[in-house]
This record gives sequence, C-alpha cells and structure tokens, in this order.
Amino acid sequence: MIGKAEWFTTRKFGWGLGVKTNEGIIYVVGILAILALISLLPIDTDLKFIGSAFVIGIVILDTAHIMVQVHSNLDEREQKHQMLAETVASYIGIISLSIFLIYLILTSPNNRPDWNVVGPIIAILLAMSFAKGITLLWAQRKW
Amino acid sequence: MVNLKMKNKVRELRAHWKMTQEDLAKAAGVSRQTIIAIESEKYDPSLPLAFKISKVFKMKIEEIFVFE
Repeated sequence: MIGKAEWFTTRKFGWGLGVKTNEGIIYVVGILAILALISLLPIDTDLKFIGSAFVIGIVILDTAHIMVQVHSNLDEREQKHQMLAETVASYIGIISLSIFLIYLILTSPNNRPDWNVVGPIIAILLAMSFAKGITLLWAQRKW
Repeated sequence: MVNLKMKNKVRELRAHWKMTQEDLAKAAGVSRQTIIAIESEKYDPSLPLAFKISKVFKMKIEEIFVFE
C-alpha cells in the first residue's frame, strides 16, 4: 500500500492513528492536497464526487492496512496496555448504554419506551456481548 | 500461596556490557520504555522475552531473573 506503519503510531486518546514522522505529515498533507485539487478542478460536480470518493476509499483501505501493522509492531507490554485500555473503554461503553437504557425505560410514559431508540441500544449491547463471546471462543481455540 | 516477586539483574548486566537501553531494546525487539519497566521491576517479561534478553547477555535465564 502507500503509507508505512513506521510513519504512524497508535493514538493515546481515541482510536485510529497518530502521525509519528515527517513522512507521516507529508502523507496526510498530500491526501488533503489531492482532495483540495479535485474540488478546485473545472470539472462536473458528479466527477468531483466520484474522484473524491475514490481517493477517500483508497485512504480508508490504506489506513486499515497501516493500523494492523502498527498494532502488530507493539511489543508485549504495549499490547497489554492496549488490551487493558480497550477493556476499560468497552466496560465504560456497556455501563453507559445500560444506564441510558434504564433511564429511557423508567422515564417513558407507562414504562413503554420508544422502541425506535431502545431497540438499537439493545441491539448494540447484544452485538457487543456476541463479539466478546466469539472473541473468547476464537482465543481459546488459538492458544 | 507464597507471594513471590521476580527480581532481575538487567540493569547491572547492561552496564557490564556497556549497552544503552536503546541498544538492549533493539536487540530484544521491544521498546526502550519496556526495558525501563523491566529494569525498575515494574514489568515481568514473558518467557520468550526473558529468553531473548538472556541470549543478548549470553547467560541462562535463571542467572538474570530470580524469584524472591
């Protein structure tokens, strides 16, 4: 792909990549320059949209590729730190969603919540527990 | 259950071999921060990493890492 893992690092706050080297800065500025150039070209708006979508698509694929490499470049201690941070973040997410769900049920008229809101929250919580179970099964089989 | 703590001689051995933390980190394939954490006994390395460090110092694992 285009970008290299050594140009980037894992972000301390939030998810995704942080720039580590000058090459990383050039990579980001280069992408922004290409997008700006497309928007300034004297061409049809639909063509501009297709061009921008194409560039953004490539960047998303490239970022995913870099992220996998950056994570595998972490040493054992740094991987433990990442795992702990991700675990704490997911607990906070689950607790927040659960509290919000209880609040919605308790404050709804006649305890009949709006399922357009409650439904997706329950679906997210179920998806999270499913993801946890699948990950545990996969990990137990792997090592 | 007896609560044992792992001690190590990484700092002394690194000084003996005149290596910097960066040198040892590169040789063991970890970050300098991980070497700092091992030397200050805040982090116990995995068995593969302990083997790598012992290989760098040409010593047996039990001569570098001891349970006390």
